Amino acid sequence: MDKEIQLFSRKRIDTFKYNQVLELSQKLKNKNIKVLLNREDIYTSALTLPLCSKDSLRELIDNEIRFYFKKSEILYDYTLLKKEKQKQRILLSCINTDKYEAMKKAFELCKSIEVAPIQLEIVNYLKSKKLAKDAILVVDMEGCLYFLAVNSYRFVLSYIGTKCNLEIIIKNINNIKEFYTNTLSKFYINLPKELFLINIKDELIPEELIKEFNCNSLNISKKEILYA
Amino acid sequence: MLKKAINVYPFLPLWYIEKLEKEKEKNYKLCLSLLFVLFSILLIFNYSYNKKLDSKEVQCANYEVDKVEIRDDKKSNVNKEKEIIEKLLSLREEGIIYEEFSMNNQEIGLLISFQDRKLINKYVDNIKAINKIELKDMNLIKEEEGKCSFQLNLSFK
Repeated sequence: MDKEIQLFSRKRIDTFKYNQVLELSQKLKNKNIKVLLNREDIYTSALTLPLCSKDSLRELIDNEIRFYFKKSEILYDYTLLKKEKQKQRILLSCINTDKYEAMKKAFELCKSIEVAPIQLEIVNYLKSKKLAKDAILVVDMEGCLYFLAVNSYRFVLSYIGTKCNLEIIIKNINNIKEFYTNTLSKFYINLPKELFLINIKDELIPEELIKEFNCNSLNISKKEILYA
Repeated sequence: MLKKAINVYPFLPLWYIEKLEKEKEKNYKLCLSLLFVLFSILLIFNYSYNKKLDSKEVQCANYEVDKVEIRDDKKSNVNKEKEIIEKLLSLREEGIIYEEFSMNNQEIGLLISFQDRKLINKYVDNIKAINKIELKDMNLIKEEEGKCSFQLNLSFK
């Protein structure tokens, strides 16, 4: 399937092929754009760095990213986890997208851009409804599964899978729980007690999971998230 | 619990961050230039205002030097007279204009115009308050539309 960029407006959705990006760039000239990234894995990592100014911190993180990914064209965000006397622990979230160049061609002439992965938009949508402050989210969005751990309305862990992964995941739920507990402990966070299942049929959810977590089932469309 | 986000450019591509930084730098430079221009205007304004004040001072100083005739060149008297002149000059305020000023070692002659008649009494009271001189006489020279000129003769005590 050819790669596509979808352009949302209140009235309609326009779809452009990647080779049409130049046409797109003229269409978006001097506009304020929000870019929604679908089906992108978000890598999270806890970094320990020396205490420094915000500018130096950005430079340090840039260097770390270059070291990990061997390139600098990575989208990232970071949050302070813990501050100590001489060091600070940073939660780094990275997206190694293959749309980076296309984005540059399409949005270079825009007045302003904001980039948001769909995982972040889901968490923000739930936050606007005052839901899932500290929770595990399993979201089925257009055939793609997103597993998210949320702390204080901010995603900490994000994994991406396909629909067929769900059954495997449910069968191995104990292993996954252990994995989540261990990984979250690196970020000084306990495994949340709440579980949100979004766009997932109730019958798929095993009894064991319902007993263990405070389960919530929701149906949310992509349009609702976009236009919240 | 996570602290608030500290990244000012979440998930923005590098080329866009660089563009933003350049714009920020441009705005910063523009602000600096505007401040510099504003500061220069203030300096020029201040300079011309001071110059105007200075020229007023020069006029006063010239006035003092031109019109005052100090005939007694004894040092002590010169100092005494200078002191009195300074006191008389300090009595000037808005609406009081010294037209003529003459002086010898016994008396002082003053021709003063008052823009408002109300100023006369206050002025005379102030003259009387000066220890080393006394008001000998005071004659109205000219009066029209509330403005008037007086000839004052003062003698040293």
